[in-house]
Amino acid sequence: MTAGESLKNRIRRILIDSLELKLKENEIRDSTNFDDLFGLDSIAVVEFVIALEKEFEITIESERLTSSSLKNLDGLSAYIEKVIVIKNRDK
Amino acid sequence: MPSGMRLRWTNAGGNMNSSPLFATKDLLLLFYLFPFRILAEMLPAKILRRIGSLMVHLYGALAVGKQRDIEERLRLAFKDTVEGKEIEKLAKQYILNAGLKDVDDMILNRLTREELLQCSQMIGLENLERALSFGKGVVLVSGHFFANRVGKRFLSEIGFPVLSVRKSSSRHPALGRLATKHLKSRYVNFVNEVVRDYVFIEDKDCTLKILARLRGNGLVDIHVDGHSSYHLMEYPFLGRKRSFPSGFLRIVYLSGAAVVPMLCIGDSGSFTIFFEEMVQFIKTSDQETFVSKNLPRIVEKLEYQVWEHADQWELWGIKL
Repeated sequence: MTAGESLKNRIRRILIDSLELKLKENEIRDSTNFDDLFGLDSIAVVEFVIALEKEFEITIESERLTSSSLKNLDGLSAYIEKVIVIKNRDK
Repeated sequence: MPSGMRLRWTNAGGNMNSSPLFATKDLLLLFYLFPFRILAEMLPAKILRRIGSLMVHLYGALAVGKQRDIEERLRLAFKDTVEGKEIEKLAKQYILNAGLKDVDDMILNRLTREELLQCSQMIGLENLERALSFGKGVVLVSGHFFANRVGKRFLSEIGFPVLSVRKSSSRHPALGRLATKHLKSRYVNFVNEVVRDYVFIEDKDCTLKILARLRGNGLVDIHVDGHSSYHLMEYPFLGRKRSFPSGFLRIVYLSGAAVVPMLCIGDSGSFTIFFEEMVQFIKTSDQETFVSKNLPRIVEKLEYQVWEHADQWELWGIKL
């Protein structure tokens, strides 16, 4: 498993836990639209963001706090990976 | 066991087909959006306020049916604790205040910082500043009081911009179908221009925008008596059970933002903004208990504000 896949699996787990989804990890594909999972409950999005930040010890920038930035696993994992790299570089 | 219950998303909308094709209020809205608005662009704000005030008094004298409705709602809420004459007085004043709010909407974009400063009074600003000192943003909890827009515009002018959380289009039960179809969207656009800094609850990014504002140590205003929300809980309020949104408190739980009750009363000619002390929350280990323990305390504060300033509370105008 590559580092990228491992990151995606961690995000899948957070998504399932924070939204209390009755899904298995492999049922969330890289291109699955998160909007379909959040449904009408917009508080769930905030719960997901906070859980991500806690898990990866990062802060998601305010300008990235949009549903289009949190659209799917592909985009989100690329962003988180980038933030982690910057964080480690600045240490 | 909390008395509240978690409900599905509700929208206080109604069946439009039950409205008449044309209603008296349609004419008033037509007049407001066109001749009065044109007049507003030509005349100085002070003169317009005087003309508006005269018209509002005239309307107040004619709106007998409306006054009776308001009196009835006040009587139901206050039971025997408020005398009949006082109820009548409150209802009359309510109708005048409602009209003055519409006049204020028309002139608000033209009032300067200095003009607003001359008419303002702030009580408890230190409470807001203390809440901001924690650096996690502040949720201002308020009710639908007539002077909210004036108060928030003033706060913005003095360096405290407030993000208002609103419903994209409220139902106007007194409007006919024609006005609903042709005038309502114009009115909504007009109000959007007046409010300026807002997010709609229907916006799928609503909670993320709130979170972003709080993270910038900003201010977000929530009307606790609004009841369009995915998360609603029921509590006693003014003598009956009523649903209250709890989503904002869930964001508070998750973000660590402070909560300050705010009250704006008066009109653009003279208004007062009150900031109460920061709400000291009962700490709990989970979100659901946090909401069920703390929301009733905020609802109680709102109920007290309504009791104290009944003629300033906008929602007497709708069936509770």
